[in-house]
Amino acid sequence: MEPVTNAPTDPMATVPPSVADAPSTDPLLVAERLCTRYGDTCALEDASLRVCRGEIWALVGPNGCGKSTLLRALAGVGAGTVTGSVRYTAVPRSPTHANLARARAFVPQRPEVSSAFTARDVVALGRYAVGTDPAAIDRALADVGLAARAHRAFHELSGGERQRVALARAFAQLDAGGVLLLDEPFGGVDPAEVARIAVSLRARAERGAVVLSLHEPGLARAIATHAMVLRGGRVLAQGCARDTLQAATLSEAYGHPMREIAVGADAVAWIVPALSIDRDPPSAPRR
Amino acid sequence: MNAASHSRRGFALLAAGLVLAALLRVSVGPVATEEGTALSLARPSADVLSLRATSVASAAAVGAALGLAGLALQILLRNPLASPFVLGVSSGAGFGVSVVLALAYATALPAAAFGGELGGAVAGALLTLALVAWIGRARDAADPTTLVLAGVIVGAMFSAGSMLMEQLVPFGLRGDLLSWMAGRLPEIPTKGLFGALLALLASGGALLVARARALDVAALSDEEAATSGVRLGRLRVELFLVGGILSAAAVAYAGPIGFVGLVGPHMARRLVGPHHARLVPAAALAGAALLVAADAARQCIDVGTGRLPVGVVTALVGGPAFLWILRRRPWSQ
Amino acid sequence: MTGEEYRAEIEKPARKKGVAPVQQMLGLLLSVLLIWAVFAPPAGQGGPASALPAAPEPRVASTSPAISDSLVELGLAAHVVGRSGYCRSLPSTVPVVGDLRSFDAERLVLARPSVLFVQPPLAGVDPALAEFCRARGIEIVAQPLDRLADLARMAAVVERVFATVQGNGASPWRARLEEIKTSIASAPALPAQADRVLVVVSAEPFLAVGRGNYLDELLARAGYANAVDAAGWVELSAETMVALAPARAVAISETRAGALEIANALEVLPWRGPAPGIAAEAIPALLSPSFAALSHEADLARLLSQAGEARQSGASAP
Repeated sequence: MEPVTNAPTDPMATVPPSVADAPSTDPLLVAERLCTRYGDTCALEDASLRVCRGEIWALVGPNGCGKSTLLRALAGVGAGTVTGSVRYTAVPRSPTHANLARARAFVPQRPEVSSAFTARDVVALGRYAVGTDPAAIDRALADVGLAARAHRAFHELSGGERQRVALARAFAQLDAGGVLLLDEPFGGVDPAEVARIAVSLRARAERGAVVLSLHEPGLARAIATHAMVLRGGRVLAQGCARDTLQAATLSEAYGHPMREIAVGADAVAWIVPALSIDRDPPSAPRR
Repeated sequence: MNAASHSRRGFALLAAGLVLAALLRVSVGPVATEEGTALSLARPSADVLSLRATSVASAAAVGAALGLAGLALQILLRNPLASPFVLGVSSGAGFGVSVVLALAYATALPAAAFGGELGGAVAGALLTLALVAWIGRARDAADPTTLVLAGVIVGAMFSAGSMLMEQLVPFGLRGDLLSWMAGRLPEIPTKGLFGALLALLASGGALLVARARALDVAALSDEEAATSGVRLGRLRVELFLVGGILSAAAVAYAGPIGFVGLVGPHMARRLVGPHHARLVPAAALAGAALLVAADAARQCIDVGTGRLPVGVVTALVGGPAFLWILRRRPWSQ
Repeated sequence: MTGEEYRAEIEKPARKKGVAPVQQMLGLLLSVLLIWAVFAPPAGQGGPASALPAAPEPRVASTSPAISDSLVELGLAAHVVGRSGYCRSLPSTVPVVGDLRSFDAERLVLARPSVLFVQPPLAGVDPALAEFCRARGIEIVAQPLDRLADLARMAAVVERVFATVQGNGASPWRARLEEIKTSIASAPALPAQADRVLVVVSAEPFLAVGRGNYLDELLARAGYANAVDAAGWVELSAETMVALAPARAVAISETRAGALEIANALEVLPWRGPAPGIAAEAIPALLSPSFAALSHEADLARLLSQAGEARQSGASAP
């Protein structure tokens, strides 16, 4: 586990190269030909995914492209009609609710709690399937850096803190080899907390895996090992993060020209939308 | 004060409130004077003690059932304003009663031939539950809004149906339904009925306590709860059954009595905290205390035209209690 | 605070800054119980029976205003030890023991009647009430009061219940009961050309007397036919009343103002052909199926003839 300090650190500086380049063995989650239909509309079409131990997958794409739909289909809480197969290798063929809960955890975009629980109580809820374990709860709270605020009521916490509490709950719920499914975990979260969350995700991914959806392609490049780009419910590209998250692919996904900006020598490029001030010629068809 | 002792104090307060209210109820009553009867505070003689004790026992049982039903429905519908009658159970029971009365008039047979008011109430309440469940399942069963709407619609239909049934009865004989809808706590022990109510109360309470941890998890959003290992579908069905059947039993036994099922769970939450292992028994205790207190208050009021129905007094007692609860906590809690 | 410290915090018992809350509550309760046991006066010094207001035997209670009115009419009000809240003919010192649809068990116990008169509601006599009275040796007389025949039966019941009352020979009430029975038994036949009459007891909505009602029978004995065909008390729309085209219309109400209000409402209806003669009066006794109503039979006849005169003179009588 990385110690959390106050000085801003460059998340990418601590990527162990072995994780990013590990061969895809030991799959934890295999999804094949997932389709989600709401009545006549097809929200997700023919998505296949293979998540192995140590991988952090980023789902990137514009609004309504099917990121959340895919995450929910993977979690097993998808609304609408879901076809295709999702299989967590750690559990038997017809898993009980408890087994499944230990193999995968889902955190929605805006976690809500409708009771007057403290942060620690909420994290403890994650242990429903497994049984109480104060040590695991402590570890989860420490992972997200909320050990000091654990006794506060959930409603007193800021948005970013709530996100971290929900994350800690998911940490407490999973076995070591579990898959985290996170819907926009960085939405409305300020940079310091982004870094903290990224560090704890990195730590979790050492023995498990993470699949998360993002709006910021640059952040995806910085955090993820693999990526999937979606548009209109279809998968445009997927694979290793560095190869998939290229300006051309992203321009097609967002329907807006994207540029790569190198940040210092030898560092990963950041991808931003082209602003009209730069007078970039549109290189991709408009939406 | 830490959480555990806070909840112990809460339980002690509730129990004390219940006992004090029961004591008041048992001690206040009419005594004969030269001017007729007057209310007085005194130890009861043996023959009225059994009447008053039955009233207290009825109030405690009905109040506990309403408290539990209110809690179950507030969790199921994710709505802090849900009451045991949000599913339309009281309207359905009223409709059943009105049908029995209309049949009794039309056929000149006694109402007991059709099951009496009690039979009508039970049949009507169960029919309402079945209808609401059916409508709720036809669409997305996981959506609490659907259930609330179904309850509102079915309740409105049955209310209108009751009014129609009333029209079939001649003018001078109407008003039986209105009298039933005011609610009354039986003073004469009817052992079979009371035993049935207690049995339902015990099994409903036991089920909710057994599911206490799952109910805690249900405070999260639906998706988080479902992926935490809680069998959300089964939990919803259980909450619906407990809430519906307990409120049907309460309505059949004592008529519709409002406010207790709405305020009781909130009072309990305020006093013992949000963990359901404690909240479930506290909600039952709070409901019992509220209704016994309302009955005691009613006993102390002499309007001159006879006793007030207890449903009138629950609003007078429950309203200020609700305001006190709202004042101290933000609504989201 | 680390997790260890936090857990220690929530699991440690409350600091002993005095007595724990549960013990406090228990102490409070015990003190209250002790005070109550010692200082609360026991009910009914000398037993409940001696504290009851004295009343001659048989002690009766009535939860029906009509029956109470009948007993008062007969002069037997002294025997009534329990009433309903709406029995205005009885003094307010008589305790309220219930009404047509519910009963107050404690006050019934205090009143200790030997007979309870009720008008059975649609659901029948409450089984709890029946059980209660059976256990205490109170006889329930459930007498529906719809028609004159019911009143005759009522008279027989009253005779039976009060049979033990010592009278010096013919008490006035016994004589009155005989009168009632003979009066009801003799039913004059309806003349062939009877005028059709509408008897209205409320405006907005219009409530009229229908068939099979004691007022309907009084009407027939006065020699008139009821314009309304339906049974019981009937709500009529203005159109229906106009279509009925009665020859006379009488309004009976509790108060004079009420009677005038009904009469005015009747007058402004768009009657076809000649308007019916309208007469209105406040005769509250007629509105309840009691012996008092029978006493006012003559008033009804007078009112009906007033309406007839009004029709002939073409104006309505006040």
